Amino acid sequence: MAFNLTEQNIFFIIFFILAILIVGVCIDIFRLLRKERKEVSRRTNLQPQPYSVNGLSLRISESFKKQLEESVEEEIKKNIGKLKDDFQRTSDEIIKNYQNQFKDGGEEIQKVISEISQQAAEENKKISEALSGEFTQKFDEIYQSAKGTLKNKVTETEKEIENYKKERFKELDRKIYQALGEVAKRTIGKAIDLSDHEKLVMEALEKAKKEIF
Amino acid sequence: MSGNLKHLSETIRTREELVFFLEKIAEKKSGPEKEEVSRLEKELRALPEIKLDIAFSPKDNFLNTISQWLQRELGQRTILDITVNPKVVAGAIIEYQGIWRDFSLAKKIDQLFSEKLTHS
Repeated sequence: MAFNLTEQNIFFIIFFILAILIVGVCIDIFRLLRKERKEVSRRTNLQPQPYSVNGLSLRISESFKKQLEESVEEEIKKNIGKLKDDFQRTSDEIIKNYQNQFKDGGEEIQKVISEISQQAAEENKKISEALSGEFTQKFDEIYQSAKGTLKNKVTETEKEIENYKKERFKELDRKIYQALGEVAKRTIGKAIDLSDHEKLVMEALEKAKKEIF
Repeated sequence: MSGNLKHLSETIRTREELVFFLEKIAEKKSGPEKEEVSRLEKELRALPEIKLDIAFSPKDNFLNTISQWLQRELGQRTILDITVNPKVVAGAIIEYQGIWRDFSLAKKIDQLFSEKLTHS
């Protein structure tokens, strides 16, 4: 019978071997745990009991017991007092240290804040000066430009007003002189007597003789 | 020319008066004399005319003065066409053979105020 070793068979063999190994390891671990538990149990049984050693009770007198309790209490009180003092002293020292540290820290912080404030003020001043200078320059340019335009407009308007005034006055003068002329003509016409009229006509004829006759 | 007609001819100052005078003569004449009157009428139409605008109504003696002055200066009789216009104020506006000149005081007053207006 030919033995055909296929990949499937190899896989099953390896799987079987590994299963045996895992079971063996588990058994070994279980045994170790069991042994450890036994050891612990044994040690627990060996610890001393207050008034009994290996199951035997020890008899103590009441007075000794009381004395022992007082002594223990006194010792505890003493220790507590000492502990209190130590605690107080330590606390004070810690607080003092912290206070000093805080004080030093406060001074340091104040110093840093002061420096920062000074630097900030200087920077602020620089920025402010720069901005102020730029703003002033821009404002000045705009102001000068607006001023120039306004001045031109004012001059132009003044000229127009002046021309208008001149025209109006001229027109008014013309009307006044026209009215005066009419009055003068009427007045003179009435004032001149006949002989003067005749004389003026003859003068006109003399002029006409030179110009058109 | 009889004495009456001569007197009439001396008093004629306007074209209308002269036409009237000639018509009177023509009524009385006939034949060659009437032809002579017609010739005179033609001459009358050929006489130069002077137009005068003046500010007052002239008296007869002033019209005679003007008439004589014109005859003397122009060397011939002229017909006067006179218009009374108070706007002239004084002096005269004269027109002769299509040429017109203003020698009135009204013009001088206008010029005076015009110069004042120019220099103001």
